[in-house]
Amino acid sequence: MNQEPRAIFKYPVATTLLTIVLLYTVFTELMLTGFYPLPKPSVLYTSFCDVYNNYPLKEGFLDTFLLTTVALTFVYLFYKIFGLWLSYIYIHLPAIKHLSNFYKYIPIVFFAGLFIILFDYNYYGEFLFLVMFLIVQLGGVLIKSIENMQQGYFEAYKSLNMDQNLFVKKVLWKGSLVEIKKSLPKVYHKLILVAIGYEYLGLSVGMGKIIKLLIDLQDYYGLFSVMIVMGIYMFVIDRLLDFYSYRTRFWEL
Amino acid sequence: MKLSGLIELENVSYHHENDLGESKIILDDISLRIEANTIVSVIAPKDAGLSSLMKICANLMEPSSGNYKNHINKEIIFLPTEPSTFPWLNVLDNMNVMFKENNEYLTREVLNQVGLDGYEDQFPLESSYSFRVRLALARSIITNPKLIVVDESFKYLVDEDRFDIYEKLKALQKIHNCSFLIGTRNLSEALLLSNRIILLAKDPCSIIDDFEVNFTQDSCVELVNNEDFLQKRNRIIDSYRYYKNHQMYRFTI
Repeated sequence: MNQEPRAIFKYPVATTLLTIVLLYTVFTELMLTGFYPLPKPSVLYTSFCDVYNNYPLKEGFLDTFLLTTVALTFVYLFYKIFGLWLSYIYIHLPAIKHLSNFYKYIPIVFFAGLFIILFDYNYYGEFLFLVMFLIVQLGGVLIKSIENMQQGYFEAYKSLNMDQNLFVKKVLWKGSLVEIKKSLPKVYHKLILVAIGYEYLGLSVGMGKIIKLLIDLQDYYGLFSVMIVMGIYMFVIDRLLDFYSYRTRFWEL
Repeated sequence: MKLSGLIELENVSYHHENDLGESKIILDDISLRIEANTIVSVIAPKDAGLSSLMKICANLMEPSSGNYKNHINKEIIFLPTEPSTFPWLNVLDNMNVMFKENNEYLTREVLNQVGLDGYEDQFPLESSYSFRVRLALARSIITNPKLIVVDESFKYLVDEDRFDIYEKLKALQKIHNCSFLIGTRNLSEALLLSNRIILLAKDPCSIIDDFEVNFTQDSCVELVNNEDFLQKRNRIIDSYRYYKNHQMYRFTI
């Protein structure tokens, strides 16, 4: 007899996380009094309130949030508009894929340093750096998806005697756009880390600056509470991007 | 005047070289000729190199030696094992993917011939496997080819759909005056569809028998109970028993 799976098995990640949080709260608040391998939830809450009141947390969070989301939206729209042409270029000039590999050979921290020196710790510098990072990341996804396109599609292209430009337009680009949409949550995770790293190095704006201040002042409980908030934020953004990506793949609904 | 065949293979061999540089003979000295308005089935054991032979016949692969003569230029369509329909295009767009503009009248006519009329706006992944096979078949027919090479495209169909598609395929062949070259491991499929059956052996792949089949019934259900059908099937089984020290390959009967 087929039965609907119970909710606990339906959402294994959420169930596991909630269980860990519950156990952690019970152990640290009630059982392990006087011994704190990790800060208690009540201490974390107090620390977070301190950070909120004493540091420019709102401004920092807003800076990082705006810079990353605007950069992602900008580059995503760029690929939506020009992706077809980029696909044509790649088909006619496959050597271009080596451009997307340069992060492998030159560490990203070198580019971060270069932008910090060139733009003197301001928003424009970070925005341009994030845009460059995203163009390379999404370009890599585009190239990879074209290279890994199902063999059957290429056989159909040859067999149906399709015009190459028509094949790129109707098959390769549309298939690649699906992969770009699917990659958005993963790319955003990387983007947040890169943005925080840039801000940390540049000591300019955003969450990176706050993290740097917390480390310098050795406020580790504060740091831990900020990390938890960032984790929740990334989880929410991840779900939203995943939802967007899924909704736009209407044929899978 | 004697009409020449659509395609001809003369002493065709195909060798495959692995990463270690070892060469393996896949096809050995195969000669065959496909005439106009026929359905020819090629039966081969598993891993015998049937797909390689089908791709060579469809002009998608070059033989290592021997001659491949194509008298119909690009009027050959290859139907792969997995129906390579594009999930982001609806049925109408999938059917017209090789044209700059959709030909709705012709599309509806061909869809009607494969039993998909009224499904123009549906997406392939919303539908069954049989639906996608029919769509791939219809897309092949719409280009008005002289020869359609089928590489085990019906092997994952359930019997109910299988018989219906066989009957539709036979009707399509008569309506469009095209030929089919069907690669299969299913003895009944070959007998139900073909005018001629070619048996291939394995290691290396070579022709061991080639005979005509002329059943008058169009209904598959009637055919499978026909005495002549059973005799022909036993002939195929006996041919394989006789070959290679009475070893019987595994086939779908």
